[in-house]
Amino acid sequence: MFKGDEAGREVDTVIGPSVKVEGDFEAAGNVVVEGQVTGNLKTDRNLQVGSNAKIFANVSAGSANIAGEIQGNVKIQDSLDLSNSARVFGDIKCKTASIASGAVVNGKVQIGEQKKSKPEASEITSGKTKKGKASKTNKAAEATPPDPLA
Amino acid sequence: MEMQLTDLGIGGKISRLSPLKNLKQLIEEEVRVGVKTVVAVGNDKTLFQVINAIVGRPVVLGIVPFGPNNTIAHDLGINSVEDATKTISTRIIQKIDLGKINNDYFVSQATISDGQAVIEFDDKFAVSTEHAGSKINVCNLRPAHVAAGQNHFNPQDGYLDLLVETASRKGMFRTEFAKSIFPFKRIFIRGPKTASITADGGKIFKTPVKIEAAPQKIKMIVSKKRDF
Repeated sequence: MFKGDEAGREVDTVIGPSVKVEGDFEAAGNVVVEGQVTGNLKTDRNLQVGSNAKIFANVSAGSANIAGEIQGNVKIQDSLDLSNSARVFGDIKCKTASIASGAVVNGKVQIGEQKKSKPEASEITSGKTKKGKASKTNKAAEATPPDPLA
Repeated sequence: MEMQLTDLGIGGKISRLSPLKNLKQLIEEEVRVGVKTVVAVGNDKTLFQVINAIVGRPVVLGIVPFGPNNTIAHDLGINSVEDATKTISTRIIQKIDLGKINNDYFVSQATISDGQAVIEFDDKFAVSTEHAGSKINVCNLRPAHVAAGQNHFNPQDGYLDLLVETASRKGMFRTEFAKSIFPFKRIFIRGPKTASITADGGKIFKTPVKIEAAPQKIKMIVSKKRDF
């Protein structure tokens, strides 16, 4: 909906107090929210949520500074800053985060790399080999009936 | 004023408007005989009429503010007849966006008289106000009371800006307004009840209306003092 202009300049959107936005709100520029948003909120740039703002929406942004209330999941590509008045009721996913004392987060929080590191290749090979051998031996043992005379 | 124009070497045919003269027809005839520049002398209402008469035609528009209600000329950096004549003689021509409201065009702003309205953005989301006393304007040029320096209200960016101002704090002597700004290409305005929308002080429309940006729709002679 809102794109940068021909010169590549992105235009900011300001949602002031006493203004309600309902629906799928999408912007390419920075977004400042001081009012109320219901639905979905998406921007590739910075999102600022003022202390009196109320967002009942899933939020997706490049980076965010949150001082108000969000009821919905928050997905931030880069840095998230929650101030002491921030209240988030939903899951948070971001690359880096700064959470001030007093901020409320009620949900699952994932910060940083989302991929788990894998064991080194040599360990895997040796582990498999050992396990494989062990299982084969066990299977062979199970297959051969015990000699009652032995 | 005619003498000022002549002193600056600006000459041309002068046509005076009257209720019996059809402006569109007049401009059509002049364009047919080769007129390339039209200078509108008058106020916002005159300019609204001239813009709607020349839009889509290969002519350049100059303006000379005359009489009361000249906010558009002011927004374009032209504050007096002297400013205007110097601007015309300097002849800096820029392509300017226009706003289109239903089938008419405006260059500066469309104002909603009743501050309560629901504004729909391309069926994606809607903006509404809680305060009945809100001021709602659709702006192409920066309104005089809004500070410069923001990356909004640029009549060359292909966007219009919806400006919603709500009274946030009442001081002893003045009321402060909190601003909401939404850049857009197309909106629909409807209200809980029928509201009036005035475009450039020239024509009144009733809701529901469609407003859209018309990028680089007109060539204008602009002032050096403009802020875009």
